[in-house]
This record gives sequence, structure tokens and C-alpha cells, in this order.
Amino acid sequence: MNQWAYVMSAYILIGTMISIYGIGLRSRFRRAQKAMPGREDEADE
Amino acid sequence: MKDDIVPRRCFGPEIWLAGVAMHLALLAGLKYAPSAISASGEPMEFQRIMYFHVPSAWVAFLAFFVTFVASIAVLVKRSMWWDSIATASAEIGILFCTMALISGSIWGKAAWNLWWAWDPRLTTTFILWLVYASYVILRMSTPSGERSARFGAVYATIGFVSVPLTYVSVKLGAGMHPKSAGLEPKMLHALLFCIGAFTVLYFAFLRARFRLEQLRRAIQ
Repeated sequence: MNQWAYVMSAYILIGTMISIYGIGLRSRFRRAQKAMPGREDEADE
Repeated sequence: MKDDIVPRRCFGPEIWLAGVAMHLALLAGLKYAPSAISASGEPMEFQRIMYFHVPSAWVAFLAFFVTFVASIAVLVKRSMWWDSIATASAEIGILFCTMALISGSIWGKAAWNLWWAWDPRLTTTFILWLVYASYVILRMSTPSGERSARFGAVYATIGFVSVPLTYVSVKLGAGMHPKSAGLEPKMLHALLFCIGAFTVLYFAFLRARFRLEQLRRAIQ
């Protein structure tokens, strides 16, 4: 396997994990916000 | 309720700083840093994995250290604010520890033609991952309250022993994991920049995860 393929695999995997965690965090936050009594209309920007 | 107790936004402006820093880190690792050269004069491009692997491991250690300090604060001050910090930091630590293990495994395949070896550093890092994954699962599966917070704090305080053990493991015995060696100035600059970028990202995630924890507690 080409050496650059290993480098790009590692970078892409790390980038994907960071992105998924960030998106997941935002989604969990919005779900919790919706569950907040009296705050259903206030979505995260 | 005050907005500092019930947060309205997940991410603060620091996430933009982290995003820019991470893109620059990508350039630093792929473009700015020169290729490492083997003893026989062959370029070793796979060494560029180090620019994301070392910062991932550094942030994992930092995150677990923050969990340790926050857990001691929970035991001393009996504060749920510190418990939110401990929980948030441990979860982010697991993310970065996983990234360090995966990138290390890819590096191992390129350098040693092995995905995994039961080397002291690799084994202790895996144990570290198990210790904190157990902590996160434990905290998720128990209802949040003072009792759960105290139990979690005791576990995290004892579990922190695995962090210095992992750090010194490379000096124990004849392991395969590379020991810290002198780097060329450009390589060192790139590595330090990447460590800085990952640290900014850690604090951006910590703040967001802390806000989520505060929101959850406000609902309960």
C-alpha cells in the first residue's frame, strides 16, 4: 500500500470522528433543548 | 432560570477558532512539515501520521487529567458543577484516545507491517481506554445525583493511575513504540502547532459538552 494512502486514511478517519462527534453533540443538545419544559420553540441556532 | 445555568447554544465562538486551527494543522502535517528520511535515505511519508497521532494522545491525557482534578473537586466541594466537567472531559478523552489508538494502528501497519502489537505502550493505552470507557458507561447507566457523582469521582481518581502508567510505559522494557527523538525544526513546529490546534478543539468540545450536561441537569 502506498505510504500516502496510510497517511490519508489516518487523517480522514480522525477528521470523520471529530465531525461525527461534533454533529452528535449538537444533535444531543437540540434534543435536550426540546425536552426542556417551556422551551420547545427555542431551537439552537 | 438564568441562561448561564440553562444554556441556549451548544457551541460558542471558540468552535470557529478550532475549525480554522484544525485546517491549518492539516496543512502543517501534509505540506509544511518536510518528509522524514530513513537511515537508507528513503522518504518515510507515513511519519506524517505523527502530526495527528501525538496531539490525539496528548489531548486524551489532558482530558483525563481534567477529569481527575474535577473528580477531586467533587469529593472535596461536593459540587455538581465539577461533576459536569469530569463527565464531559472523560467522554472527550475517550474520543481522542480512540483516535490515538486508530492512528497508531495505521502507523504500525505502515512501519512494522502490523496493525497491533502487545507492546507496553500500546497495551497500557488500551487499558487506559478501557478504564475511561467503563467510567463513561457507568455514568451513563446510573441516574445522575450526588451519590452517583461521588462514586464516579472515586472511580476516576483511582483510574487516573493508568495515565502516568501509560506515559512512562514507553521507558519500561524493550517496547516497539518509538521513543521521543530529536525532530527537525520544521517538523517540531508542525507538531507543536498541531498539539495547539487539538488543544483548542478539546476546550471547544469541553465547553459544548459541559453545556449539554447543564441542560440535562436542568431538565431533571
